Amino acid sequence: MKNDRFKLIYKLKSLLLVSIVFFTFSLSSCSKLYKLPENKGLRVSFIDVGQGDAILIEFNKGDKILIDGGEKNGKALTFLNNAKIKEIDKMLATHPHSDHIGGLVEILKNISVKSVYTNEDIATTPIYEEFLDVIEKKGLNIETLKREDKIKVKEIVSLLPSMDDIKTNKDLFLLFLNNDEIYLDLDSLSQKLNCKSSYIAEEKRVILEGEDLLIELQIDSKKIKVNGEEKKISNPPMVVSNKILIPLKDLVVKILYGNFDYSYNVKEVNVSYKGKKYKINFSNIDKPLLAITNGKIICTLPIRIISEILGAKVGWDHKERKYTIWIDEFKIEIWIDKLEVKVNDETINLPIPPMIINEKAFIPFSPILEAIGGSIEVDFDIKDMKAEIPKIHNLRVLNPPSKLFPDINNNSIVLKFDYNDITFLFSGDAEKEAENDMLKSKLNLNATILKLGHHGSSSSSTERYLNAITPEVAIYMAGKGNPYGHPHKEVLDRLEKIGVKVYGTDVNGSIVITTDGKSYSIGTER
Amino acid sequence: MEYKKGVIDRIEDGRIAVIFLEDDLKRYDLPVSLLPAEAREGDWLRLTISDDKVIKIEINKDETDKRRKRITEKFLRLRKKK
Repeated sequence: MKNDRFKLIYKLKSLLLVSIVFFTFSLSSCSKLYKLPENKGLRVSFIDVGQGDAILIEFNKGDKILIDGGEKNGKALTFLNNAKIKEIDKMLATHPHSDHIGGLVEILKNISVKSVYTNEDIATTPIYEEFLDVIEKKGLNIETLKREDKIKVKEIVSLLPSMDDIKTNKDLFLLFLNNDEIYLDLDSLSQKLNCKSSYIAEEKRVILEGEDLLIELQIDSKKIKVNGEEKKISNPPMVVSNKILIPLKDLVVKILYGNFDYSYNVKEVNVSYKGKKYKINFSNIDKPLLAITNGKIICTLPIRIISEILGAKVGWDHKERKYTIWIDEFKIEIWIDKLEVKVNDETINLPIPPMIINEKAFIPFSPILEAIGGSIEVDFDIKDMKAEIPKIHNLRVLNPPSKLFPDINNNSIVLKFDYNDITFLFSGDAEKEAENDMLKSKLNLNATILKLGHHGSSSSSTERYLNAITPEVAIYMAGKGNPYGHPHKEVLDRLEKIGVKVYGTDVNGSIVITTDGKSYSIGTER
Repeated sequence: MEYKKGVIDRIEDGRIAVIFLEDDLKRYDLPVSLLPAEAREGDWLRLTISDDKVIKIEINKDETDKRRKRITEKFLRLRKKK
């Protein structure tokens, strides 16, 4: 099926909300450029700040979270500047040592920070006092954290498929109506919402079930039940081409409190047939309807176009749900919801079936016109497309316990972040005592990616702790040739023994993990 | 020979004390064996420095108490009431 007949002026960038912009940044210490990998949902950068910790967590769209800032050496700030970070939503100091808070002072002075979190420990150092002074000067407060606390962070999730999805996911079905509605197939939608979906065919009932959300819909009905409460939506779900299509507009705006926008402009439709060209004016008839499926963009036109423009005779068989069109010597039979069309008894296939929407029939005419020696060109423009919903994630605090340790490192804030299937554990400078306490408290420590405690020192990362986490990847953050010998050989040996892949900022420079919540990839500066 | 005020930011792995000077943020990484036995993280010190080498370290309790009180007050002022 050829769709290149359609002249599509198609603004993919704005349509798909894919950030195609790659960030580049240079490091203060060297002029080498490092390209930050594209954010596929979540990007976690373990910033090379020399001896110290600084970790930036960014959603593709949503909150930006900074855990620690290294020493006051300009490195974390330079990284943020080069990544074009203009605002930090949550800044967290795991504990008040200079190799964790120094850089935070510089960032507070130069970048807008919305909220600051620490533990209950204080330090008597000038750098800690400066940290407090700049927080006060910026009119901020400090929120202190301990075990069982949660930091709520917001991700903005686009329900529209990415360019990759469109190219690779043959099952995807996206349908654009001209009255500000976008339909998405149920499977793709439930994936985006990270919830289970089911379809009860005999009742024509659709159920979407998430963590604290239960949505019930009915095919061809504008009624919707959200957590048992009945509401109304402006367009009904429908079945097209054996796909269950869910309307996004009211779901996004009224149910999930997100943003929906979309501008659709058909500039021109030109039909040629028997050497004649017909320009179609859409002022008084329905605009074409656009579908994306099987990696293709398909334009369907109202049936009236053919009858009125080409002077064809059209008949409707209600029982068979069939249109018969007579144009000159051609007899064309078109069935609603069927992919097969007959032209003078010869069968041709359509990319999507003809459908009836709001009691009007839309037909993918291009292959039909081709079969009778004509052609059709559609020039249209879709832009500013947005179907985004907020999604709240929790960063869970595993340490310190409410009764603090006498030692500052052990009171480090330890954070667990489950981003769908990929989980992170950030250990701060927690040492054995804190690790043992977390183990004793039977916390779920299991994580895919572990930021090793205390720069890979043997003060931390006991065998029991590592076994409870069973990470696939461990990252230590240490300066090259640091006077403390971090990372310690014992720790590296323990990790090797249990087959964990290890990265370190002294060897690899900044280490950047990107994940869509299902799989992850690791990029390193060196 | 000169005298400087400094503070123990941290003691790494129980072996090396990271000491910051008050005025210019210059730092020294010193073996804990050079520190008075009772020295702890957060203690302010009176350092005797000669040729950029620390030759004597004494704990400055008054300075420590003064700073701790001042900084604790600032911290409590900024801490959000839950």
